[in-house]
Amino acid sequence: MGEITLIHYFILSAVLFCIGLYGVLTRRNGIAVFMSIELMFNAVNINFIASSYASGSGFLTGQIFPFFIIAVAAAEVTIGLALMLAVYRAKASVNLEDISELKG
Amino acid sequence: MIGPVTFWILAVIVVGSALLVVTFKNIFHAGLALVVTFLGVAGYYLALRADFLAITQILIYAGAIAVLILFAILMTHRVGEHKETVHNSLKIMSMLVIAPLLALITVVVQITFPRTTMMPQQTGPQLAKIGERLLISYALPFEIISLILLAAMIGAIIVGREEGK
Repeated sequence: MGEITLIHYFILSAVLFCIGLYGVLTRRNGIAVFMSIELMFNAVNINFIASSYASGSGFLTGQIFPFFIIAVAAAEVTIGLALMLAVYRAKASVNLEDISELKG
Repeated sequence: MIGPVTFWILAVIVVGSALLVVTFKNIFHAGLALVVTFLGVAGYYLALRADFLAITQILIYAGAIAVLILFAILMTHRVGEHKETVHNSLKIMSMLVIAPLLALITVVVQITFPRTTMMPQQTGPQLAKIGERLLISYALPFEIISLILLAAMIGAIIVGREEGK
């Protein structure tokens, strides 16, 4: 393979994002959906940092936003997993098919 | 330096373990594959000379978030639980939605962005400069993120409490 250009990183980020999206749409376990959402966050972070590297002068500024994405993802996982535990206590299952009370 | 060998080895690790995350039926195995994905992404940050973010990724994602997810898996796992019965039609429909999205992104990216080679940066350690940015230019988001984390902790404690406590 030749030189690694910015396009390679964008396509890698897009592939990782789509794998996470497939996991969100397909998996029935609530925690598996969380894991797929984390994959999507990581894809976006790779995109940010690759772009900031290629921009040269914006290298440091382009790392601030992934830093905040990591922090917000940590907060989101905290609350989301606490919610999953509460659901498990109420329904004895985290399978999304078992907690679809509002459906139809 | 970003050589093609490093990029493709890390690409195999990251994309391969991501595929394992979304396809493993045993969710604990999926959680372990997620740890591998996070470490691969940290490898990408190192290849892109973002050393502070690589360490942050390992500490927070692989060290805290992944462990939290594994704990939640262990606490919500029922012995003899019925495995996920995913209908094939759901998988096919998801692929039908995602494949055009991926194709669209790939084509648009190649049209829009020039094929700029990734110039190697003569960068040193990032920590001091990122600290300057965080405390001077981006002090407001920095303080807000601390409030967000506080709110998340309080919310998680309240939501996760046992009844009657």
